[in-house]
Amino acid sequence: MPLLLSGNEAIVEGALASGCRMFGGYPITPSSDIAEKMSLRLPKMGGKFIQMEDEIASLGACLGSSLTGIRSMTATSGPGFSLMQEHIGFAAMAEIPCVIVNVQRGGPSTGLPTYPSQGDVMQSRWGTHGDHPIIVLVPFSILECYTLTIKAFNYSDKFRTPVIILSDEILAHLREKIELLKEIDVKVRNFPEVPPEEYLPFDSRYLVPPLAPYGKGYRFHITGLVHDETGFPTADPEKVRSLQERLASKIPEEEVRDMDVRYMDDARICLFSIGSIARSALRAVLQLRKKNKKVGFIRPITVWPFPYDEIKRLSRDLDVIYVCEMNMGQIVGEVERAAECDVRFIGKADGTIISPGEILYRVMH
Amino acid sequence: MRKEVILVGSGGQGTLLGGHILAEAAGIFDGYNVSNSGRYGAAARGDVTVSEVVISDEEIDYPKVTKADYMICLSQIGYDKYKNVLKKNGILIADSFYVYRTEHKNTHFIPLSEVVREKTGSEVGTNIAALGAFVRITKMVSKEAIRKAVKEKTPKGTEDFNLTIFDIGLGKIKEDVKVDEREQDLQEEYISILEADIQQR
Repeated sequence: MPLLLSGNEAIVEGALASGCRMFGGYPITPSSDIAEKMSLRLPKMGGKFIQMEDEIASLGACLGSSLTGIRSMTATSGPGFSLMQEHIGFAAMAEIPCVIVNVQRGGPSTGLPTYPSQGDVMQSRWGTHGDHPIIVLVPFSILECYTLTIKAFNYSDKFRTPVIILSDEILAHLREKIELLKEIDVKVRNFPEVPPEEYLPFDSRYLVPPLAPYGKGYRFHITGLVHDETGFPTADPEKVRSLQERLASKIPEEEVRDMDVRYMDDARICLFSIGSIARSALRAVLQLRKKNKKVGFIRPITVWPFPYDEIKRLSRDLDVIYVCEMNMGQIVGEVERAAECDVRFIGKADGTIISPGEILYRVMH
Repeated sequence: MRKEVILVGSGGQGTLLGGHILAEAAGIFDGYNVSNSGRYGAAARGDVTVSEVVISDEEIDYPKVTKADYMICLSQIGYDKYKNVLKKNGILIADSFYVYRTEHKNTHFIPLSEVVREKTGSEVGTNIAALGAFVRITKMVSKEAIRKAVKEKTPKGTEDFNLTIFDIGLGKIKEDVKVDEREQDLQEEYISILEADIQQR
């Protein structure tokens, strides 16, 4: 039987279905339902729910439990996401799998707690210092909140990386009908093939070295400092370069790339958007098509790594791309870098959704 | 067919729960595609709260209400804030105790909160009674579907109470009072002046 779920509830279902058994969090609107539902469901499944003293500690708790081999998740919104940046960097450096849900709300600072925004698109990529790999997935429906959460856990284990799900207030509090999957494709972490005495946690022969769970006899050092293959700090330029290059190349763009491309065969104009605003854009595309305008629709589902090559290829036959986003202009810069056609921006950050009518008006005039 | 419903009230009146029950009934028990979302300010009580429900037999692209076909309204400030969302010929179901001035022709003033208060001693459940009136007037969703959704979504132990209230709303309560004809003309004149004013700007 189908269920009527909100975006937050669908994320919880996706996480539990993919085997998440630990949630460390700190409630914040509009993500609090995730913590609430997790606190009710996890203990009944043998999992652990911990409310920490703040968001820094929340992600810290998740990283600790993830190192023991347990799939772990946290959820927050803008202000909490800012606090988590420190540990996102730690997770990237120490290569610890974890899933972070950021239900975006208006910012900066405390901003607009109960109103939506897409203001964290660049923060999700470059919020933490230093070069680091990251995967950011952006759902646009309740079904995708569910399926992308499952995907996020698989990516984080496969590539030993933090994965961020960028939801927003619109999806968080929107309810839609979804059918939960009967069979879930769960890809578990690679377990080391060598005995403990030969184990190297950052073995450079692998692009993504197997991660031994703590408590199974494998002993190793975890640090935020640049480290060698054993996990101990080093400043040897050769070793530093080797680590940096491996980190930079460990997430293959073509493997994680996921895009929703529609009506592009004969398109001269294209509406480009991500997340919930893509729903407005899709409606605008359908209405413009009814007026015999040749309009296409592009929506990256995996926003980081950004699909530069794909946008470049698709833009060759276009006159103009309209980038619609609920901020003052973030992802539009990346589209400009990639596209070989004119790029225009439709955006605002006043706490209200960009309606299909607003997009139509801009495209028609 | 895509129909948009907007429920408007003040915090504490159960607007959001009302929308949730309507969406559950239409989506899960009557088999339509639905989307439901709420809007509320930082103040939980007293501030205007809105619940939007889109019911369609096609895939729902844009999940929010753009121009509503139906409005259930439980407070005057809510109406004043969201009256432009309801189509000019849209159907408005208004609680006659809390809403006293509307600009829509198809207004059904129903003393929902008064009747609920009379029968139960409190106004809790006016949202459910409003759903009853909605089903009776619009026939958008089946009674059985709402009954099932009420059972599922209202707090344990209050199901029967809420079902009784739903039946109160479903039954004909007094005569629905339409907007006074003379007042209606005045309001239309007022609207046309307003529109001309906006165009001039």
